[in-house]
Amino acid sequence: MLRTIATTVTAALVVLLVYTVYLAAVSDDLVVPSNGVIGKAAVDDPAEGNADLQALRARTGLQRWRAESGPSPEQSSPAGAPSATRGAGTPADSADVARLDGGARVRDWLNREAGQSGLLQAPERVEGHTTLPGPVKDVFVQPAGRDWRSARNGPIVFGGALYMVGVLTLLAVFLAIRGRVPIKEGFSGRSVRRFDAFERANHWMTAVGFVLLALTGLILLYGKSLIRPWLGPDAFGDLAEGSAWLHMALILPFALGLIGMIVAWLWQNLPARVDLEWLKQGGGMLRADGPNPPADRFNAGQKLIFWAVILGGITLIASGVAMMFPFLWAGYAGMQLAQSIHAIVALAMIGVIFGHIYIGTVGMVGAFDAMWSGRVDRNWAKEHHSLWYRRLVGSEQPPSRPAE
Amino acid sequence: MLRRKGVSGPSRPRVQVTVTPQGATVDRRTFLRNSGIAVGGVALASSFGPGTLRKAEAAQPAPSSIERRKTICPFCAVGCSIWAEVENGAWIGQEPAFESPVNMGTHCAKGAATRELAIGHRRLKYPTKLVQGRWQRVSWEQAIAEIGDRMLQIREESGPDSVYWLGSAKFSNEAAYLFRKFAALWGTNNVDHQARICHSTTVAGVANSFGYGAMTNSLNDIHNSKSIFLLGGNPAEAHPVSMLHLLRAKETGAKLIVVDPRFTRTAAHADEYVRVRTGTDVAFLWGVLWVILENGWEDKEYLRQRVFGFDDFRKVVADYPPDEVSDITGVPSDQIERVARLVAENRPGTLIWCMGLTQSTIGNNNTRAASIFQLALGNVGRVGGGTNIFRGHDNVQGATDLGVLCHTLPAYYGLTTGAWKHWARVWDVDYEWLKGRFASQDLMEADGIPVSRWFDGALEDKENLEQPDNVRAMVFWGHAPNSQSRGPDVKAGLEKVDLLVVVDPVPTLSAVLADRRDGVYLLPAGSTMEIAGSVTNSQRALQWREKVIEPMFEAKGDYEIMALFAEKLGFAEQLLKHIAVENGEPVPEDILREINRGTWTIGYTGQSPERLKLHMQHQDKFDTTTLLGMSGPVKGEYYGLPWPSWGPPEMKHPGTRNLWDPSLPVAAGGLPFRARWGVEHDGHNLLAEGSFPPGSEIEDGYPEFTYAVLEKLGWHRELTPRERLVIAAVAAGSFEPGMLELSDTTAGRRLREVLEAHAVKSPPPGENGHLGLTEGDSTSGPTGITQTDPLAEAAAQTYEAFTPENIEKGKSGGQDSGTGKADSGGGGEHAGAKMSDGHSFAGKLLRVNWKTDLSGGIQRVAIAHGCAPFGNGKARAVVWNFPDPIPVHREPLYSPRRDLVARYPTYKDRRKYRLPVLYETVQKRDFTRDFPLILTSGRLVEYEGGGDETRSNMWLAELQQEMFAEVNPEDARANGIADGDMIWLSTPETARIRVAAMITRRVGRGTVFLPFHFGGFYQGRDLSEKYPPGTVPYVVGEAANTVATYGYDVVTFMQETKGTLCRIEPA
Amino acid sequence: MARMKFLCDAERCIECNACTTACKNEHEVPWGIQRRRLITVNDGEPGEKSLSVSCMHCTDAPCIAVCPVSCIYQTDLGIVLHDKDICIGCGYCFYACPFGAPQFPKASNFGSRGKMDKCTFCAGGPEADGSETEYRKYGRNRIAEGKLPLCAEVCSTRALLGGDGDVVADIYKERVIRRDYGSGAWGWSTAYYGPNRRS
Repeated sequence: MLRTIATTVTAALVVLLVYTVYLAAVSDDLVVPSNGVIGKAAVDDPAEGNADLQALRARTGLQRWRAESGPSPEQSSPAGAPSATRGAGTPADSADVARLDGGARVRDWLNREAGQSGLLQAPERVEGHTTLPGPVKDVFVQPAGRDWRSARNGPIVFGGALYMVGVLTLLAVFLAIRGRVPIKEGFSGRSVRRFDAFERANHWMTAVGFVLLALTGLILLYGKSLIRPWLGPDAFGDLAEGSAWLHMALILPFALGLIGMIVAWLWQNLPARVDLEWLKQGGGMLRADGPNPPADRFNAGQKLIFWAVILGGITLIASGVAMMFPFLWAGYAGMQLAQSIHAIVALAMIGVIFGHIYIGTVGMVGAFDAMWSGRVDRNWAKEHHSLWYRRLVGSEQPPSRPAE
Repeated sequence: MLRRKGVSGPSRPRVQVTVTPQGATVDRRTFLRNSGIAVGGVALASSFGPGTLRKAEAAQPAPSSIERRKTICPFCAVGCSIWAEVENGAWIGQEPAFESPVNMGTHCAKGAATRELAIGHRRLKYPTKLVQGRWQRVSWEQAIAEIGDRMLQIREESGPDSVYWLGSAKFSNEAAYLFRKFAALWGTNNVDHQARICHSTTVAGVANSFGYGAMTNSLNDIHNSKSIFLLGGNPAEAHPVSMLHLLRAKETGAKLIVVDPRFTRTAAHADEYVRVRTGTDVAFLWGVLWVILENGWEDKEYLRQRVFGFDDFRKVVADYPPDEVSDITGVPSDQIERVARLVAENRPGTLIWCMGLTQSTIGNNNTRAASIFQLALGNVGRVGGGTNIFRGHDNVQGATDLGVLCHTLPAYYGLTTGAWKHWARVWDVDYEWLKGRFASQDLMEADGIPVSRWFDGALEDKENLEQPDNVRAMVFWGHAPNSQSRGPDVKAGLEKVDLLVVVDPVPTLSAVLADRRDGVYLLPAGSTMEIAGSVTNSQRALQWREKVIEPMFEAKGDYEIMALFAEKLGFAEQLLKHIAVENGEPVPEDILREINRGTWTIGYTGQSPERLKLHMQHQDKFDTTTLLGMSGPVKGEYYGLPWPSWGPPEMKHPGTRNLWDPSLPVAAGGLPFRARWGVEHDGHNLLAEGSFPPGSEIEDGYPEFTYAVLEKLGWHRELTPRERLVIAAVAAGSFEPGMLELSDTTAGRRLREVLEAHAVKSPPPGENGHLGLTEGDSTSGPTGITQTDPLAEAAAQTYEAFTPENIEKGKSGGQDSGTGKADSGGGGEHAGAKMSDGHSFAGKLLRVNWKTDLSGGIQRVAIAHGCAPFGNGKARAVVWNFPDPIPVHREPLYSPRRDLVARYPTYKDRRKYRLPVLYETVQKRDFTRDFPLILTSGRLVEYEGGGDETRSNMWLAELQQEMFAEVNPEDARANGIADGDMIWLSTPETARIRVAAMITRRVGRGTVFLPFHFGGFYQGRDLSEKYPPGTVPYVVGEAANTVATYGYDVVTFMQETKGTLCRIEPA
Repeated sequence: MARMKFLCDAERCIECNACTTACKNEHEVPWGIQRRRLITVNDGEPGEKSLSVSCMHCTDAPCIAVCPVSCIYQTDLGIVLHDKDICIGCGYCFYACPFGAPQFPKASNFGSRGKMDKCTFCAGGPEADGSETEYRKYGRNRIAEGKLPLCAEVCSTRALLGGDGDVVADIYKERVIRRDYGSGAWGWSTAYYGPNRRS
């Protein structure tokens, strides 16, 4: 039953994976004039901004030396208001927008530039002096902005997608092949306390925080292409605004959670010799029969997650704050870097947490109780955390036989 | 979904406008704030907040009726046109005036923010007075009544000279003229304005070299220049739109040379930048000229024909070889030679200067040196040449021409008896009555106290003053106190006077600088956009301003306020005798017509309101380089009828494009140099030799035209009976304005009466076309060529005032012409002088001349014969009536080069303008040890003058939010100062200011630069809370002139602000 | 198919700030927001150049590409506009913009940003042309009146050119040829050419 579901999910994910690869391959991050027509949704009057091109062209000519350009339109009609030439003549009508195939017009524009190239100077950062107070007001041009843009819209967006779908696919495959990890000796019916109330509360606060942060974050990264077409610009705008606000608000619980975890678990998560063995055996989860490698209260896998969460979390908060408070400590490059790091680390963590959630729920029998009730079955404990269990029972009365 | 739009809305946001109880219209923002429709800055701001803006309400339908009115930018003297869009009395937008041949639609920061100046909310909104240290709102009636009573009381106790009327370069021509007339009728010459501290030395120097003291060519004419030589000027920041023309010239091959102690925004565009030590301009110019003369590059023929005294001049220049000059100025001698080559090889070249040259104890030497420099190269009176002096304020040229000055009446007539009689005739007031208004005839004809030292008039001991009592009432009418040097003394002066009146759109520093508890009145004046009138831009062109909006809040226009005061002070009837008053406001058109009737000396007579309005209406018809009207009703006229536009408007003189340009007939705007200083000096001919405008029937030099000269030439026959009547009446002192309207027949009859009244037995005039007074008939026809002798003879009578004695007296010959009165010893003067000697009517008649002939007949006839009314003389390289006849270098009073002080000492102490003035006393003390750095000052593009208006303009203030001092990196390091640090900057006269340091290489090592537009701080103390509520400027800062030290030009009392010493230390 | 462009001629610009105040005066942009600003390179030294910069309305505009809510869009005249109703003030456009055009007023939540504001090429925004609302959010819509950005129309030395890109390029070329110095068209390669796409 479970296997079949897993298999179907796997199949679906593989398809999604391929589709993502395809998208990444064909994606051309070229901005096309839309007059606000984005996707299916006409978000703006296509005629917006159109005026009689002839009028605008003539008006541009006025910036020539007057002797060459002639008197101004104002003068020719001194009394009257300027003629609002909207619609008159042959406007760059919105039909063009419809007619546009992809970036035809943009490419046309870009090619025109080639003609100018004799006059153009190489793109490079130009900085100077200005009388205006405030940071980076003195930067004339920072072409690096375009690099950040292509980094974000290319590798990060598609890499992230591939990575997340990829992780899910692996988990599904694992489940399909390996099924749930059982308790070999079965439930003993007797449990031991694994996490106290504080630990659990703290875990769940952090967990909920992270999940929401991840969701809101993903909305900002993918919502534009995944949600906006269905919700429409305004509704999505509100959603995104809410997400942005929530994303910042949730820093508090998340950060507190991290601190709690450090206080509660740091010592038990320091690497130890047994971890190597554990890793070598892949936690004993790969093979159904083989014995479980010994582990203390936290096995190497959990330690890795712990450190991923702590270090990743700190990075995310640091980079996040850099973006929340512009120029607090980051300049242009700083904020661009911060955003990229924030996105990459966040995506990486999401993958890790996928694994964490999987193993904590469907992946392994009896694991969930640890964080839910706080007590785990003794046999589960014996199998997965032998060292910790031994210390624990050693301090308790001798193990009792199973009840007759 | 974003909403889909239906048909497009109106082309402008539509807004109704309400009228407040006071009747002042409310601008868009106020209105909308009241009516709850937030808009503008406020609203936009709201839309900047967090949270989602909710969807658009439907676009309002469009109530139409946007009126477009053209005004002239209220800031610098370039004179840019602005289209104002006005809807129901609210000024809602500005549009570029592409058709203006001056700015062609362009603006600088200030011009582009003009609207905000008018509708700004930091303006003074109602009359306010200071009562026990608190500002109190009062009505106009109460304010005028209280001020008037106090003034009349002071007049009783101390005489009219104890009230000082400080006018403004922001006045329109009409307001300026009315203000000078106002002061005259009040009975004092203590009246002045910004020109004193901006270009007075230019006017003096140039007027005494060429004849008139004004920009000779035009901005547009600079297109024709092959080299542009900028001395002590920074047009990029002071006259940004002029750069449109300069860069145009540069891009067509002109060489741009910038001489400045500071690497300015202009210098950034220079082909050759020369970093010169402040106050050494004469030395530098002589150095360059030394090279030119050495190589014989000067224009010898030009000098022979048109320049007086060049040989004496060579001797002086010989003392300034490049290495010596290099030592004085700090300019490498090879660069001096390079510059010489540049200007010599690229002719015609123009020379442009501004405050860097004028604001100096030897300012008049500087300006004359520059003039001579151009003469030597033969650049004056040439297309593409000339001395192009950029004036600072929108109408500082006009206000100067119309005599808002303590040493002259309108049009440089001076203060002599004759001048007063001339204006009495124009004003149609009785001369005796006028004289009665003054404390005495001596004071009536004595120069007043200049603005640069008005506070000395208040602080100086009575016995040191050449007037009955100190200045006791001070009126700041469009003038800020932080534009005068010696801050602490200014403050003391403001505190000493009994009554302080500020008439201005904003309170200005005057309101807060003094620590007073009462006796201060602030009257809200309308901005220049709230009155109509003409303004004269730097290139002598008059442009007509339309009234854009009614004065905001409770403000009143200048004309109306003057009328109110005149009413209260009891001479409204004389002030407005021939000027209509419409609902309280004198009509500017009528004032301009009165100006036209009196200003013969400088040809402000042709620019009637009708002609000016026609030019504004057809701006697009003018060529952008020659400024010549190409078609339509303005065909053949120069834009704005640049003065002199000779004769009455009916004569249709096109105006003078370039002064002293003999390549055009006088009737078409050509001119020779003015024969202003007589026919000969020390046996040398002062008249031009072989140079004259085409069509001149006298093909040589000739003296200025008097009736006598006319008669010798036999041209007097061409005078119409009316013109003869007026001439005779002027001579007889029985002139009435009505005579100008008489028909020829009546005129003839009246003329006979006049003549008989003076017992002239003669055939009836007009019969043989001759008044029958002398035997002038012998002249055979109008070919006066052979008649230079009788001419000289005739002229001799006219020029008696120029006998050495008269010049010794210094009175007219010395000071007045010294201070640029183009008419030193005008004909009127002699007539006057003679009359008092009981001279014969015939004598008086012979001396009626082109300046006093109110009919314009003499000018008309002279021009009809291709002659310039003012004669055809030589320019002067030697101004014998000045302390330094030929300019020489003199070290500043606070010189950093003690070793040079010995060789180039300043003047002896002396007295002038009713005051003692110090030179050597100041210079002999050595401050260089405690004050090692040179301090200079200048402009920022965002602000102007005292800056109160511009710092109260949101858009401008944001761009310069802090007063600063530019310090060279080395000096900063030496004094342990980092960029942005606050520093104390102190000068020898103990004043100090606290400003932010800006470390920059703009200034050379050893020099500190201060922008002078800030105010609202005094020696570290913030005065913001002293402003009336709601009027504190957006930006306040230390005033540079707080630390500007003593020092005045020897001729004009121009203050020295560009070269003093200072010390900087971390604060 | 023509498109609108800005060009600042560094040989002409004198840092007079006319463009800045013209913009403020036309759109009444509050203190602290600069839709256009001036920068001087090599200030006070030989080779000093001043430049006026605002949104350049780039071809293939980076801001549009990165806006997470697609509130920025381009009209068929190449003018880049945005919708303040949708903007969430995330600041991505600011990271991506080569010219520092996007401006953000301080907003309450976490001292972070409010609605983005930038130069509209005097073309208003998505609201009905010339409507009060459009004016309130984006300023005047001169394009709809057949006029061009006021900053360019009033530039004191005609250093700043704005309008039909082809005409602008012609004017600039004529100039460079006439004076025979100072080409470069500062920022153009980045704005309209794009370092990423030299095809």
